[in-house]
Amino acid sequence: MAGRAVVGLGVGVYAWWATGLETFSAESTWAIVGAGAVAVVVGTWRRRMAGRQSPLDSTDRPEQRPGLGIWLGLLAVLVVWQMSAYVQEPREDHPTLSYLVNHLLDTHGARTVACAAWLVGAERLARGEAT
Amino acid sequence: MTRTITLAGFAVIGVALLSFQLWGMVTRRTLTLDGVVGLVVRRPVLRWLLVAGWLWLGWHVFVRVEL
Repeated sequence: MAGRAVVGLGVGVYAWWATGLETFSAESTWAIVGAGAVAVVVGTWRRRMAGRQSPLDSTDRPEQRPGLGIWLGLLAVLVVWQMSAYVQEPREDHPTLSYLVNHLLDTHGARTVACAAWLVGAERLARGEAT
Repeated sequence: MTRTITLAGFAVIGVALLSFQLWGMVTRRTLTLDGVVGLVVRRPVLRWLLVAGWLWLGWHVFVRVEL
C-alpha cells in the first residue's frame, strides 16, 4: 500500500514536471514519449511475471456480452464527424477533438492529472488489462 | 458546418457513447468500453496497436499543444 502511494506520488510529480516543459520541444517529446515507453515496459514486464494470457480471469466476462457492433458504429460516427471538422477551416468554427481537449486541459493542474492518468493507462494496456 | 453544429454533433455522439456505457454498467447485459478494450488487449497484435495509438495520443495531447 505504501509502495503504491510512493509510485503514485512519483507519477504525479513527474507528470507535473513533464507537462510544464515547453511544448513542441525535443525535451518535452522525450519526457512524454520516454515516460510512456517506460510505462509500457513496466506493464509488459508485469504481464510476463503474472504469466497469463487472458486479462480477464473472473467469472464476469464483460467481453462476452453483445454490443460490439454498436460500439464500433458509434466510434465510426465519431471518426467521421472528427474528420469532417478536421478538413474544414478555420478551427474556431470547426473545432476538432484535439482543439476541445486543448481547451479542457488549459491549466497545468488539469494537464498533470491527465498525463498521470495517461501513464497509468499505458502501463495497464501493456499489461493486458482494460483501463 | 458552423461551430454550434460541430459541437452539437460531438455532444450527441458523446451522450450516445456514455448512455451505452452506462446501460452496460447498470444492466450488465451489453458490452461496456472496458469489455471492448478487454477484447482488444487479448490479441497481441491489436494490443500493441492500441498501445502504439495510446503513446501517439499522449504525444499529441501533451507535446503538440498550443498553450
